[in-house]
Amino acid sequence: MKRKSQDNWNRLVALARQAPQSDSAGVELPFGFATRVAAKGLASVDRGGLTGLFEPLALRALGIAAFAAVAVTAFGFHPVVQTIQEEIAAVGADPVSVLVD
Amino acid sequence: MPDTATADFDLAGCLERVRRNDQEAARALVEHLYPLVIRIARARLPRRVSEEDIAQDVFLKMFARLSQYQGAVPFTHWVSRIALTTCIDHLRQQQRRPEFRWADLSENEADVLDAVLTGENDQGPDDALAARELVHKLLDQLKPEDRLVIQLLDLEQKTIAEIAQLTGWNTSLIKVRAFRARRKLRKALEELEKSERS
Repeated sequence: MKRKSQDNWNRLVALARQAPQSDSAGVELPFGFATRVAAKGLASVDRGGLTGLFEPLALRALGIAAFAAVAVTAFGFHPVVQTIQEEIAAVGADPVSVLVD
Repeated sequence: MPDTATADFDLAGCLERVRRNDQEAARALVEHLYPLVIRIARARLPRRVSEEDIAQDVFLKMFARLSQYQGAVPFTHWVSRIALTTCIDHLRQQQRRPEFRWADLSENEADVLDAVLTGENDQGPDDALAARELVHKLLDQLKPEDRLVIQLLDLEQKTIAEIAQLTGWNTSLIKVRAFRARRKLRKALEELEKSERS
């Protein structure tokens, strides 16, 4: 069955190849096409130039921002916890248990 | 694929001027490459998309990515790849046809398929056109990349190496895509045959 289907496909495609090629039709440029596309194309290059300038920096900036966030968390965590513990010690009792009582 | 580079066209000089935003050079580049781009678009034209729209897309991408062109491959090959990927993008946007049955075929297509299935050999030029239409309907059921591989291999009779050069895909990937596509096409033909009998 597999072999037969493959033969059928081969026969069909061999017949399809005999059809006149669609690229034998003309390839004349439509009037004004080149001017219009060139103008649009160069305009997009202009905009791309500015974004292209910042594109490589954007990824680095993201990396630096992530590193800064991790560093701030790592270095800032201990002093914050310490301050809270000191405040609790200064009060002399756990404020939550005082409130509950 | 025909190389449109002509001896009297200074492609390197033109590209240099385009990079300096020379409008006249950009226009000349579009005029020079139009036959190449339109042939690629026409051969792989998704239904309901005009070849002029595809050509415009290709040229806009070409200008936008011009700064990325390093000259590792000839410029016409680089533009051909942009044209091929643009066609694939358009095919991807186009919803794939659901499986079709014998009743969905035109009279000519049904006759051609009947002749193919029964092994008849006396087909005329009209049958070739119907066969091409039928092949495209079957190809519409494939993924765009698989469709492109089969179109290049079976319809345009290109070698794996030529397809690799044209698309930038490695040969193993092309073989896998061809295998997968042929399996699906065999199944589609078997289904059609079954639906004719029922």
